[in-house]
Amino acid sequence: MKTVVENKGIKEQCQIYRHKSGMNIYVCEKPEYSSAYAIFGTRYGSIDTKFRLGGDAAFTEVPEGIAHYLEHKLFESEDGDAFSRYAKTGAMANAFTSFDRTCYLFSCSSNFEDSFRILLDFVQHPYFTEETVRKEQGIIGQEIQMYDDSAPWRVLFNLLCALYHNHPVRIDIAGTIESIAQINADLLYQCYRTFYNLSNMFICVAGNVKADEVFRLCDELLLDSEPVSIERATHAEPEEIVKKSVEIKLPVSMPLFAIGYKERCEKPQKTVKERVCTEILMKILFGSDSQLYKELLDAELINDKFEAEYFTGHGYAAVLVEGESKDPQAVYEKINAAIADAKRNGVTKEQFDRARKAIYGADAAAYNSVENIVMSMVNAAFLNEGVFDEIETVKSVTLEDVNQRLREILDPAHSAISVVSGEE
Amino acid sequence: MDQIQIESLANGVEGCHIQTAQFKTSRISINLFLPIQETDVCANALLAGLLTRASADYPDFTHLNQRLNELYGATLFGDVMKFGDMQIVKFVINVLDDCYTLGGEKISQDAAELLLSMIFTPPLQNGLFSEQDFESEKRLLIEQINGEINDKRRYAITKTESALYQGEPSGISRYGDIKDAENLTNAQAVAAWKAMLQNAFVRVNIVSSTAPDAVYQKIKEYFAPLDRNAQKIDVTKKHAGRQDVLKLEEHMNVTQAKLCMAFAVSGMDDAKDKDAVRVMTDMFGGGPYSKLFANVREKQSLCYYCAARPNFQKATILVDSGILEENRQKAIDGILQQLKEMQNGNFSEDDLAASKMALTDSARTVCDSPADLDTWYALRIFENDPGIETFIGRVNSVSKEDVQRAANAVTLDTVYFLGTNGNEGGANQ
Repeated sequence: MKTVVENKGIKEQCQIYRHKSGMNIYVCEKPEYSSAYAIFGTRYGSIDTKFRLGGDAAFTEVPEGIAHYLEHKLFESEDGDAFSRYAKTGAMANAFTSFDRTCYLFSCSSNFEDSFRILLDFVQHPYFTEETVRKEQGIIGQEIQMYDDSAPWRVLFNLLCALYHNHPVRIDIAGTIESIAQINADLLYQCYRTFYNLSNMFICVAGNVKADEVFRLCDELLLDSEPVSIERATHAEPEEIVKKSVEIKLPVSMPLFAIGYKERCEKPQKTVKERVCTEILMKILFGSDSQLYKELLDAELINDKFEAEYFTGHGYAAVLVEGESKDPQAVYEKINAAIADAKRNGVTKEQFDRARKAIYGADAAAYNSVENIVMSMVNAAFLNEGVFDEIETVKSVTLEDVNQRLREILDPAHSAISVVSGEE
Repeated sequence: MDQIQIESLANGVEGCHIQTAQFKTSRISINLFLPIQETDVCANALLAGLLTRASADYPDFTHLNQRLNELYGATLFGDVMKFGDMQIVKFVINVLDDCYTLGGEKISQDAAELLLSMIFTPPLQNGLFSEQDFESEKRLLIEQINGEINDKRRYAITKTESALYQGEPSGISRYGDIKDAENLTNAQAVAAWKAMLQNAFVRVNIVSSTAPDAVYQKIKEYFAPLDRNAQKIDVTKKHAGRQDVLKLEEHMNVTQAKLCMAFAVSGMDDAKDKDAVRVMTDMFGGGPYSKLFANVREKQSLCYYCAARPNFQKATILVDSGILEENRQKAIDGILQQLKEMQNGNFSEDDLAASKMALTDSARTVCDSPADLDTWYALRIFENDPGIETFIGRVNSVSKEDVQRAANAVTLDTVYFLGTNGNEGGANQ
């Protein structure tokens, strides 16, 4: 079954095909583009460490970092790796694992069908032995070590450990040297069989392609599979934080900070309206046209690397503010004061209008890029939302919605600060 | 898509219209090309930030950013980059096309005029920039220079380049030296701004669906009163190469060590030779199909990343990698061994085809991004035919013999290593 959704405001349309396996396939045709971008992804990321299939009596717990490990191993097959197959089509291929998803992707400007066949083939045909699994420990170990040296990475994960008691979002996506040492072929196959079931996956393509051609290839290449029901263990996560502050030392020129405002999650996912209102609020409170930004800049407390992000996924949500400062604690205090001030007075119509226009403009401009289009379709697939829900919500939310949201979030009592400062 | 039209707008000022209807936005980018001179680099880098933080109509940083948000979040920024022995000071605005605004507002022309006014008529008081803005930008520049150490991969590359090009203009960092930044005065910044408008060769790139006439007209008016002394000349001299390999080592508390190896390319000066060097470098250390990725990373597990990049202006190739400290010599040997394989012609027609396909594919992908189109044409101002399809044709005419010849023109020049020296931090913490 095929449906077409359209957005007249930005003159875009997307075709969605429901495959018999239960998987949705999204295509955005861009005939005037030279390239195409495709993702074959699964709702499986670093936080999925405890789960069971429908019918299983007990939960299975797997080592930290296994989703990322599986991503690495899936590129291999009995007759060579996927990269050497892509080398024959000219496509640029890659993959990434985040907290809640694993995506395999390629971009190309010719031979789309050949590359798409490779993508659907290797993701559906795992092949690893104890020996090939062991070999990967060296490369992944080096990746983990590279992130150990990354101050922005460390400052973020230290903050997540300060905010979250139990939720696995506090664990590094690649795991640790110790946890990946426990990974073996059997565990990888078990995770594969659970999370790489087509009913848990999605395909999104944008660019110089024909939707019907993509759907035909999917019908031909997707293997028959019975849908599974996956139950993820819930993590009793209290509203309270773990600790107020954390600091480590690394060779950096200026301390890095990450401040997080933890939010309660009654439901596993935030709604599109909650997300959009939060984005608008962050723009108003922390954007480059805010009074706070100007005040921090004039006091020489921040530089141009100051930014806010709404960090949310399955069972977690927090507003994060990150940057560099000679005095992170002073920044934290000024941010808390600005939040208190905003909560007291509410945001104004002018602030709201400006922020909304800027976010609408950025959302529309994102459609310049086939990669961004695919990423927005991935989000829609992942959250079971409409492809254009977000940009339409930006148009429809009101000042009152945003002020209501402001009353719900950004509680300094549930906030923490993480700092990476320089070595003496 | 590969339709460009270049015309002269003033003495030493070129307009390049890259016409395409595929984007939701228009991009205007003003690129000022200047020979790298130690005395000016810092001031020019400062101007990239200073000129884009205020305008005559919006002298206050906050008001300016409010205005940009009203223009549907138009993004405006300045940047500096190195291009051989030249510095490019770049000013850019990206703005949503009028047909996509919610209330039918016309914003494109306003955005274009805002950018131009910032470059040509910044708000001066008694002939100087606002002291507060100047001091603020100076601090940001100093923090930028000091902050290079934060990203160890980037830091290692910068250190390698400054050693590799010691005594050459390219050896100077794109932001300049920290001492120069600290000593910079407001009057020097004003002088650098005037000199820049006077002497730089200027390339204006416009990526848009609509005709650039109104923007061009404004630019002509701004340049008309200036007594310009700018020529379109590539002042870059290629790197000569060393007799003895230069070796440097630095110690820091890092978990993953960094190894950079710079190579000089001798001869290989005409266009066809450079095409051969491009394909050879890609086969050596470009994508996952390359010798370095397939062997040094995948087969030997010696590094997490290991990539080779050419610098055509300077006739050099830089290999950078992240490794375990104890694998240092093995990684050096492994990288040199792969170069030897290239020099001996130990690669197949399939390997060559893979590189050609990847280079072709990524060149065509440039057409799908306003920023990539802008960069592509800005960095090809000295080429007679900078078209993407021309590039693809040239790359695909390179033969196996050409590649082998290019590999044999390559010699090791500089080796830089960043590690803990085994006694600080340790490889496994």
